[in-house]
Amino acid sequence: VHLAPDGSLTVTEPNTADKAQRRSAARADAFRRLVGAALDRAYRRAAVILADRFEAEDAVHDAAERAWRSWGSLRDADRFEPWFDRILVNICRDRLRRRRRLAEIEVDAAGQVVDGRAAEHVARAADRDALLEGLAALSVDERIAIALRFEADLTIPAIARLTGAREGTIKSRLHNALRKLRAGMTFAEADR
Amino acid sequence: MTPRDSDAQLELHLRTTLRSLRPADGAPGGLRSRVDLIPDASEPQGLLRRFVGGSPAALAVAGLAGAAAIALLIVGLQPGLLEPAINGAPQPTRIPFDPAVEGPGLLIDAATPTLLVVPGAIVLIALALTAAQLYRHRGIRGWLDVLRLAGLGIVVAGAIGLAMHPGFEYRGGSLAPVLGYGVQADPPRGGDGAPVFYETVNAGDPAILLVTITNPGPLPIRLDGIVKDPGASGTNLPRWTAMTTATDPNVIGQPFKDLGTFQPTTVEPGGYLDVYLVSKAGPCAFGPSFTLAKSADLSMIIRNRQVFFGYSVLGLSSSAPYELPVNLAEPQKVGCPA
Repeated sequence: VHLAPDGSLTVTEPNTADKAQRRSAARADAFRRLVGAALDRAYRRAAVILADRFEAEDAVHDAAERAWRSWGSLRDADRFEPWFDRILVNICRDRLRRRRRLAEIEVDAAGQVVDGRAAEHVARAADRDALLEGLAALSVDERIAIALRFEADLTIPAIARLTGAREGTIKSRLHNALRKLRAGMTFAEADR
Repeated sequence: MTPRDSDAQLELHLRTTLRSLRPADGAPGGLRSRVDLIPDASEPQGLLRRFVGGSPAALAVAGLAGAAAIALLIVGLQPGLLEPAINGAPQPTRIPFDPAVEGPGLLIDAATPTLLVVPGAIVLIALALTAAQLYRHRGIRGWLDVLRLAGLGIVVAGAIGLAMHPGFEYRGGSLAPVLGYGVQADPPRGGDGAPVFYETVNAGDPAILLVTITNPGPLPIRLDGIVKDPGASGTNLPRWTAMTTATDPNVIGQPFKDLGTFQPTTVEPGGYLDVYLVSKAGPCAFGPSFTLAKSADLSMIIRNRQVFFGYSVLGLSSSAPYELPVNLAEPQKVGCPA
């Protein structure tokens, strides 16, 4: 809209390219705003699940990238947080599984650690208390369930929604995980 | 310590340990900057891209499959291809049927079996997409995967169903007699039980067989013509030279003057069509003086009861055998030719 010195008003319709550009910019702004608001919480959650702050950064970045690629599938901005959390938990699950496979590869047949980074992991694990060792020994899904239940204080239905599993499955995972952790703690106490 | 106390203590330990893993400060500035740059580096994916995942190869295959599907629909749904042409009066611009004219309705070679090739390609592409998805996701994960696989399953089933279309069949029954022009009929006598029609036309003249064909499949079929006999040219054998179709489905055996030259004709599912097959007598044909009593003075050529009709379903062509309900025999002069 242009107001000329003589008081006349000229309204220029934006062309298709301008409209597309504006739509694209508005979309990017909305993405930055929503992800920006969720970033701290997502980073903390990923750090707890992965027990590694550096990897948590990468996981959150990957989740943001995946969220942007799938931006068109988010129909309601109010549903962004659960949608993004679900993407993040899936990314963390993939990373934990990949990490477990890598760890299997990096230890040779004689049980000797052949990779420096893995050696560091093992050394660090050795210094941790029995509970952290127990957490590391849990299955990926059990570990995620424990983190979401006892760190994020999510209810079982909320964890089920976030992970895409049934409530019964979550209960079973939590039960098994606690049983394993309890056994590990007892074992550690008996050692002392 | 009771088990309950032990559980409470474990949960307390767990919460404390997990909180120790939680960074006190928020997301690092570096992470924020990297996330802010994401929209500048790429655009959100469209529906197709999201469906096939991030693999460019899978996207390319899906794009080709989509283009092929669109092309298939454009060809298959062209007006005219699916319009029934047998209803109503003869078209005024139609050239009158002349059995002496060779060619109309005759297919030089068996029709290219795109009806097999295209669905085959669709099945292969669908299988490739399925394999790519199973490989990428290491199995089936989530309802979206199930939905994708179900969609691919429907495509595969549809393609296989299309390729399995049976073509035309003999209608049979008292409402669909076989008529012959320039032939002499002999009642069934043993063998396959089918009547024998003897050609009684002069050498090189046309004899005509009228049979009724039906479409037993679930889709409309367009009749494209009869496939020429392989290897009959230049021999003493009779051969198919033309065909045409009835213009009035309610009249059995229309006068030739009411017929037009052959035009591809669509038969609806369960519908029927009278077709006139023109056979040109060989150079040694005995001619109109043939009677069954004279069978000692001549030799006899029994034609193969199987003819091949070329047809199209949704614009995809193929050919399939059709068994004539009669034997067509040509009496020939003994010792002809040199």
